[in-house]
Amino acid sequence: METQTKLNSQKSFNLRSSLFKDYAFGLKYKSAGQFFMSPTQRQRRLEYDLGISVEPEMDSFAIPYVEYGNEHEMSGIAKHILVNKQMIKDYGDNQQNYVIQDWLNLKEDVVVDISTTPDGLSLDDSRLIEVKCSKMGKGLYPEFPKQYLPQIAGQMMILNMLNIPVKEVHLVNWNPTESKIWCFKRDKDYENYLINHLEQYSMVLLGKAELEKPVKYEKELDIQLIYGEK
Amino acid sequence: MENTYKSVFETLSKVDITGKTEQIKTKSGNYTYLKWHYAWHIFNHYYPEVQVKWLEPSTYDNGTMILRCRVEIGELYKEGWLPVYDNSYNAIENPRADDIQDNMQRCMVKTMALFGLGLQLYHNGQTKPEELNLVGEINDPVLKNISKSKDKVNEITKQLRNGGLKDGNTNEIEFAKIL
Repeated sequence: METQTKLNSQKSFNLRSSLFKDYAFGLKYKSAGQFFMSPTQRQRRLEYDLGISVEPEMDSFAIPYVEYGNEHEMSGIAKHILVNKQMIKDYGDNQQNYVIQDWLNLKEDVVVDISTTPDGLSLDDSRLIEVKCSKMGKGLYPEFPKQYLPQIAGQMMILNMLNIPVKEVHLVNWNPTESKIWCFKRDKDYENYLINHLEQYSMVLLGKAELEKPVKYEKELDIQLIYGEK
Repeated sequence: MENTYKSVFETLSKVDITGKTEQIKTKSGNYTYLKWHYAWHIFNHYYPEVQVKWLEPSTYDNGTMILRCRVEIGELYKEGWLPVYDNSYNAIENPRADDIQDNMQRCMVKTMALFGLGLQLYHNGQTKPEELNLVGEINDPVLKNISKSKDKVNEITKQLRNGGLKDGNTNEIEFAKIL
């Protein structure tokens, strides 16, 4: 998370969509693609964001995975173009960063922004594309990777707040020999659920609330595998 | 002649390991391994001075572990790591001695691959040595033409429409280079 001082001396916290899972739920890896909501993890995230403790550097074993993902993000974009037979925009060097400043509209000295930088956008603005290159090209996610749900739902939420009418996200899980694409339709119930948790985290950052235990989302989500084998 | 990282890589990355592997089937895909004893045999054939040293493993709150080892050829060395996995690639909580032993062998083979031996298995599961297109050449004639076009977006759209660019035929890595 970035903390920055603006020209009018208003200080802001910036919550990035890639970390919404941490801010909102403290998602922690359990095993085999299973995650659980960890209050400790969320508390730890808060301490990093408030500067109470220093976020450790990435473990050395994780670095090649991240580098592989960065290196092949464009291959995932290429895959999406080939599968859908449609060009997309705002990818690669032209990625756009969308920010909602003071998203709670508090107009105080310290505020919280939320932001996202999607991997790509359809030409008609109706669809976001997010690429995930799993397991350094050696395997795909067997199921939809739910740990990314806060991120992709948050991306849609932010763009819609900015009057960009995104209706769905295509999550491309790419590797060199096979790929999968899941479609997640915008879900306002889930969005409200996410907003509640992000709002709660933001208020804690501002010293206006205490961290509460996140609540599990119980409703069904509209997620379809639209490309690749189950 | 003195060994260098380059000379070792050029030697080991050209070894054909066909017939010296085994395949593990998991829900998320099939994985091919170079068997540890063949890896050791091949390494000793070329570099009898090879040594394997075990570094302090990392253990995590949930009881899972990452093993770390160092493979040395004289002054040259590579360090590798591997979680203690079960056969489905799930990290094992509180692994037993036999789990650790199995993964020590995998970790050693993976670290040997950093010197080039069997590295192609990690690219694509192939056992034949593989020459990579590292200079970023584009071999697909359609992509070559698009890369020369003044209006790439329009040309890509045209080729998507007429089948010049097609899922299953067009290499995504090459396509990504011209995007």
